[in-house]
Amino acid sequence: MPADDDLRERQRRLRGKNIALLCALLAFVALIYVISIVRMGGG
Amino acid sequence: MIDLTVAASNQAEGASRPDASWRDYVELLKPRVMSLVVFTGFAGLVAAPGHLHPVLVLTTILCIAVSAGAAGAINMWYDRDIDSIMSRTRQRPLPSGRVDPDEALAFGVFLSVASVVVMGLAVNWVAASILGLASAFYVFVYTIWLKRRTPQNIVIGGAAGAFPPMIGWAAVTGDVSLAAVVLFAVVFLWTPPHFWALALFRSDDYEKAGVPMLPVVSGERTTKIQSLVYTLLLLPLAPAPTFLGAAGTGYAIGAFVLGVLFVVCAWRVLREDGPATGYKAAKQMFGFSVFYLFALFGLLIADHIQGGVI
Repeated sequence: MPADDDLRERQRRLRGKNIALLCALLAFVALIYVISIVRMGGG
Repeated sequence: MIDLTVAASNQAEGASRPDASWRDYVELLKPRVMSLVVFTGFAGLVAAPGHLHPVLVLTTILCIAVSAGAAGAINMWYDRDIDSIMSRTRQRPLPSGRVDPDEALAFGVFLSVASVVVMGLAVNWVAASILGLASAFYVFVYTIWLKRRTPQNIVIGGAAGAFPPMIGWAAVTGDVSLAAVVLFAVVFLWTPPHFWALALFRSDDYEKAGVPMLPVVSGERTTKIQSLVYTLLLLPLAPAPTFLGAAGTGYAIGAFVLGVLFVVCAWRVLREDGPATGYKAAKQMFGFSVFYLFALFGLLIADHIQGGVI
């Protein structure tokens, strides 16, 4: 049914955005961690 | 029981337009513009005297990229009305209705602030200040103040895009020297002929949207003459880093040759009857201007990687 397809498409896009946000946050945390290590080491 | 499927779909509708995907948010960051900004910023990092830890080099590049992208997102938020008129920009996420304007603004402001703060904490506050200044200049001076008011919009506003090599330089040295100012000036003088070449064959679009680009306000001949003047000014300036000790002789020769070719392009545009030829020379000049900047800063990077021997 078109309504189901529309709902599924919305959920797929929402999931995609959530995964992208998760990846961005994890990358940000990793970056801050590595920067801290470098700065503490006098880099 | 709560139907989680329905709740999720309602959340999606409430939070943003149903058609928004992560790709739309990437598009808000103007990735193509970002690539030029990142490249010139990296060249500034490489050309500067001194050493920066590779992680901090990566952080600097990331901050420059994110900040430029965020300013682009705020620009798209402010210009969504005229973007919906111009054929070149009609399919952007905001005029096409795929992304909510408030979300785009919040996205841009958050990334702008975050990139400056991270740059300041991780690298140094001189570089972070110039990064913040570049972003603010692009949003407030170019987008909000100049773009719709004066045909000199991209001349003055072009300064925003000229900051990245200076930011890269400041990230390494913690200050701004004359060589960094020259790199800034190179991009600053490159910007008008680059955008005016585009404006020549897109003037209908700009006219329709009410953006006072030079070809719309002063006509094609004035635009072509001014473009030629800027390429002539660029010709002696681009090799200048060599004479300031920031690059080798190979860079100076390459910069001069590229400059001559840029002048030739501008000369061909001046002699062209655009409407009759379909603006072939203007389109070629626009393409060459992009190549020019990549090649020029590519030479600078190669020169330093090879220790100034080329």
